[in-house]
Amino acid sequence: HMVRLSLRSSRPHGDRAPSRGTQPSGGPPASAAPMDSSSQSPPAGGDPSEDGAAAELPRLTVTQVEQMKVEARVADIYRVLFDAAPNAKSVMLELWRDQHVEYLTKGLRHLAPSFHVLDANRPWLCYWMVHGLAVLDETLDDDLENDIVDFLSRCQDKHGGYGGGPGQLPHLATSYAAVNTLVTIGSERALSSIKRDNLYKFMLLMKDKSGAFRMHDGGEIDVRACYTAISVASLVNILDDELAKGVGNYIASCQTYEGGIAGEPSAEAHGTLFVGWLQWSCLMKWRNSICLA
Amino acid sequence: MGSSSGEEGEEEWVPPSRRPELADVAPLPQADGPCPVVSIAYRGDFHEVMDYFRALYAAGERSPRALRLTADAIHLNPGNYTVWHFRRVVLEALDADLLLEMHFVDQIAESNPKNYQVWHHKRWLAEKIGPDAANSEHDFTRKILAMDAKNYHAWSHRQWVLQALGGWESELQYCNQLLEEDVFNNSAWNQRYLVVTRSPILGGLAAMRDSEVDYTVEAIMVNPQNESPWRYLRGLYKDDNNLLVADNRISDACLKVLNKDWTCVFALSFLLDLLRMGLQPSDELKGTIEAMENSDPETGHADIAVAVCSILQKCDPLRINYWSWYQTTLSS
Repeated sequence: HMVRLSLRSSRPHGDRAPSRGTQPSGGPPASAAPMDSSSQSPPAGGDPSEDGAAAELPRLTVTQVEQMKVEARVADIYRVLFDAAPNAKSVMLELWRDQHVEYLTKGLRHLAPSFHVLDANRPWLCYWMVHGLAVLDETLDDDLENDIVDFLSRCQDKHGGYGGGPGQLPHLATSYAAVNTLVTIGSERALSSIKRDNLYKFMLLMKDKSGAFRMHDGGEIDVRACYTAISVASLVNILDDELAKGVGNYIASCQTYEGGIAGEPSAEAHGTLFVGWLQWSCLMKWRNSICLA
Repeated sequence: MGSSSGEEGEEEWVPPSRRPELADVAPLPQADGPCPVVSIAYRGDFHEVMDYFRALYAAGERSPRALRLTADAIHLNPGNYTVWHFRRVVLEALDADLLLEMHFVDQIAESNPKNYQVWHHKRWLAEKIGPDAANSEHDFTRKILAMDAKNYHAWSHRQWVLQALGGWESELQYCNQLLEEDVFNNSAWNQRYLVVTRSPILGGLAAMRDSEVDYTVEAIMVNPQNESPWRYLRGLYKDDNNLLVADNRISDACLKVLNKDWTCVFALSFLLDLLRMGLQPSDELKGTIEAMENSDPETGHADIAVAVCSILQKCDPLRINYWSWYQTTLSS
C-alpha cells in the first residue's frame, strides 16, 4: 500500500505504466498483491501527513494546487487589510459609489469594441447596468430610460420573447434579462412594453415534452432554461398549469447523489443551479418534490 | 459542396463587401434605432460581416455563400446563437457534409471550450451522425478534459454521447485514470457514479456496489479531507439506508478516520447520519466518541448522536447554526 504510493508519486504527471490498460472492466479488484498497478485501486494523491510515506512527498493534484492558490490570494488580501492603518482601512473598505455610477451610466450608452463578444447578450448588458444603478439607489434620466425601453422593444420578437439584439432569435435568457430590466425601471411605459400574450406563446413553443424548456428554437434544454422561463412567467403573471406542468419532475430528475442540482440529468451538482432551484421552488410553492434529507 | 471548414485558413481574409459572390447583396444594418443604448463600438470587419449576415438571414437564403458567411460571423462572435441556428438550417438545406462540419465546430470549441452554442451544435451534429460519432466525440471530450478536467460542458457532452450513442467500454477505466491524476476531481467522481449506475456493461449499482465501496473507502483513507469520496460513498447507498447501516465497512471507515483525526467533519457527519438511521454503535465507537468528548470536558452526553452533534458544533463552526438546530431534532 505504502509502496504503491511511492510508485505513483515518483512518476511524472502523464506518464502511465503500460500495464494500466489491462484494467478489468467490471469485476471487483483483484485481491492479489498490492503492487499490482492494474487493479482498480484508487490513487494516493497528495496527503503529506501519510505515515510511513515514501521518501518523496506525494505530488499535489491540480485541485490542491488551485485551492492553495486561492487561499494564498485571499490571505494576501486579508493581510494587507489587517496591516493597514485605521484611516487607510476605512478608505479601502469604502464603496466607490460615484465611480461605479459613472461607469454604469456611461456603459449604458457606449461600450468598447471588446464587448462584441456580448453582441448576442445586449439585454443582459442593460440588466446588469440598470440593476447595478438601482442597487446603488440611482435613478436614470428620462431620456436614457426611454431609450432603454425602446431598445428592448426592438429586441422583442414580433411573435414573442426577447433576443440578444434587434433581429435576433428570441431566447429565454435574454427574455429574462429584458423583462427584469423593464421591471427594475418599473415605469408604466416600461411595463406596458412587454407583450405578455406573445411571451406566453413563445414560452409554450419552448416547452419540451419532458416538462423542461429549450433556451431558443432548436436550442439546448436544461435547468437554466426552466428557471428563466418560470421566473419570467411568474413576474409578468402568465404562469399557468400549461407552462408549469412537468417542470418540477424535470428539476427533481436533475438532483444528483450529492443532493445538489445539475444542469441536466446525470450531470454534476452545481452551486448556482441549486440557488436557481431554491428560487424556482419558492415561485412554484412546491417544496416537497426534491429530497432535502 | 456545402463547404463548412474554414477555407479562410491560409488565404487572406476578404471582407464581404469585396467578395464577388456577394456583389448583389445589400447589407442590412442593425436596427438599433436613432438613440441607441448599450451600443458596442464594433470594429469594421465585425460590422460588415454582421450587416451581410443580416441581409441573407432576413432573406432566408440557404446557400453555400450564406453558409460561408455564418462561419465568418461565428469566428467573430461564437456566442451568437441566431447565427448558429441559421447555420443549422442552411446545413440541412444543403445536405452538407456533417463530418466536415464537426471538424469546423471542434476548432471553434477548442478555443471556446465554455461556450454553450458550440457544444449544443456538436450535440446536434452527433445526433445526426449517429453511433459512428461516439468514438471521435469521446476522443474530443477527452482532449478538452485533459486541459481542464472539470469543464462542465465537456462532461455534459460526454455523458450525452454515452447515453445516446454508446462507448461505455472504457469509461470506468477513464474515471480511474482521472482519479489517479487528481483524486479530488469531483467531476470524475460524478462520472464514476454515472458509469457504475448506468453502464449497460457493468450490471448496475447493486452489482457494482461492493467493489465500489472498497474503492471509495480506500480513497477516503488516503485523503480523509477529500469530500468527494465521502459523498460518493453515501451515493452508493442512495435510497437504501438499511443496507448502508448494515455495511460494517462504512462505520469502520468513520471510526478509523476519527481515531487518527477526531475533528474530521466528514467522518463525524457521516457517523451522525448512520446513528440516525439506526446504527448500533460498537463499544469501540462509543469509546472513541467518549475520548473525543473527554478532550472537551464541557460536553458529556449519554446519547451518542447528541455527543457527535455537539462535537460537530465545535469542529465545523461555519455550520454551527445547522448543527445546533440538528441537535434539537435529536431530542425527540
